[in-house]
Amino acid sequence: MTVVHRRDPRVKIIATIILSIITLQATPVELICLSLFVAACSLWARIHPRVMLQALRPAFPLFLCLFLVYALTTPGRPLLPLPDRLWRLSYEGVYFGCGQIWKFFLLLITACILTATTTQSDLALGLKKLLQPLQVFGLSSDDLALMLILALRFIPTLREEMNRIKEAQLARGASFQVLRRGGIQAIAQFAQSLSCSVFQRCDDLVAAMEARGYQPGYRTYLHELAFTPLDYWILAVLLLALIAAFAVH
Amino acid sequence: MKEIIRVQNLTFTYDAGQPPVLKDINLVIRAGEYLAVLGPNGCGKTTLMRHFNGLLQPSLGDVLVNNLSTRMPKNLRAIRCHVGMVFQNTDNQIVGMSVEEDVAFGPGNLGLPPAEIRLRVDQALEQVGLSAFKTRPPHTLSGGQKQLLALAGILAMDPQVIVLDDPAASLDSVGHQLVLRLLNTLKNQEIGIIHVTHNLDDLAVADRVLVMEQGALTADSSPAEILTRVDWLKSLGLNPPKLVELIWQLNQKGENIHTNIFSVDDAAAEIYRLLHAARKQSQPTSAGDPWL
Repeated sequence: MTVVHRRDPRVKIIATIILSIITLQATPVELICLSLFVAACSLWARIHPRVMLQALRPAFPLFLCLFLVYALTTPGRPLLPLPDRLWRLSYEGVYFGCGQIWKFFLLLITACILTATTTQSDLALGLKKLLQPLQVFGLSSDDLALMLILALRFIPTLREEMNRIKEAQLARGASFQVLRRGGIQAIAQFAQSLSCSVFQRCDDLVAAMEARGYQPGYRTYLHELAFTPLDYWILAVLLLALIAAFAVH
Repeated sequence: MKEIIRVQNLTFTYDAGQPPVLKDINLVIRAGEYLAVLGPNGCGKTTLMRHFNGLLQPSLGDVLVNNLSTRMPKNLRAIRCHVGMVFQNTDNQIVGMSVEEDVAFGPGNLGLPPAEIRLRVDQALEQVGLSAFKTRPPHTLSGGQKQLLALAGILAMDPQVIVLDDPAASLDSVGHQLVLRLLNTLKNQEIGIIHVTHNLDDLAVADRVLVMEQGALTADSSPAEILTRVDWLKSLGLNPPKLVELIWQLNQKGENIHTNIFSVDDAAAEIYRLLHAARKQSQPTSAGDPWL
């Protein structure tokens, strides 16, 4: 457990939000400073760059699309001598596209550091504490936190269920290739079976939760969150950084 | 023994106009009793169990838990604290993202302080033998361990009675034995057990057996008395224990063996007695045989 891991989840969530706000309006020089800070945090948390890249890999096609949109649609000096009728690749477009991708990359890395150094239950508990003011509007943060926990808890169970249904249908000759005859029908039947199973699980879960005394509203938790002096210092520095960023821009 | 659950003229219908699923059931369950509940599929066992915990309310009649009616919503939290329930499919009743967080769910619902929750979680996990797995995600546990986890979640609420709805349904024999051993330990700790089962071998540890047929309670008796009615059990689609069936078949062939024998030792002694008697009967003939 590193210093980053030990920080209160509320501090890490607030830090992620503040860093995201600063990143989105950063100049290139500020982006370099932010990148160095995020890299330092990542090293501090002992997250291997390979793990980080693996987590970011699904976003790479999105990065590419984003870059192409910026590069091809931003007006400016042409980068290549192409006829005017085609989309023009401009210097400004490439520069702006690289900057935006860099920003999104930093946002995702910051989120990765948050999720890699915080357990899912701590994350839910932190969100619950941060959303407590919403009780003024009649929203229960305890219920929101529980919803989040249940959604995360059932991901592996539903993945297993999905595989089970898929294998059962494949064993009976179903084909899930869309282009083959009956492919779409097989996918529809698969979705129908999965939906039925999910609703059945929901019914069972509600009964089990009620049987264990669950009632919407206030409840207590095994782990309680507590700020340390270092957490307060980090929050103060982050708030100052946010104010400075707003003042500069 | 103190009375915990009283069921008075319980009739229940899921939809108005439909025939009742439970018909005029009367029952008293006392502290520390081990009750086994038998019956064919669809006879209303699970529906009855859901009444004990206040998950269902009677259409007619009353269910009282420690004199609190399950009809009153304000009583439900206290009732669910007194009567814990373990469902058939344990996968769907696990709430927490780790073993210890799941066990802490019930005490958390009771609003207990974190230190008290920690104490109860540690005690419950130790009781079921899952202390070594407390930080593991529940989906990585085996079927038997998940059943034990569900039991730990209930034990952490410090119940007087635990209702188990066919816990062996999704377990292998090792998991089944683990659960049975734990239930036996709980029985010795004066925790009442209501155990829905199709396995008649499980009756050996029970104090009382309830048998349900088509929504009605047709027998409430001792395991010994129920197990002697082999024909009737078979007509309900229940397979009596091998030993009981062996003795029943021997008696059908004209032997005269005591029918209240449920252990291998007692059966061996009885069969030896019969063989010994038969040998004694044949001895005079042998003695008179000049060739011997």
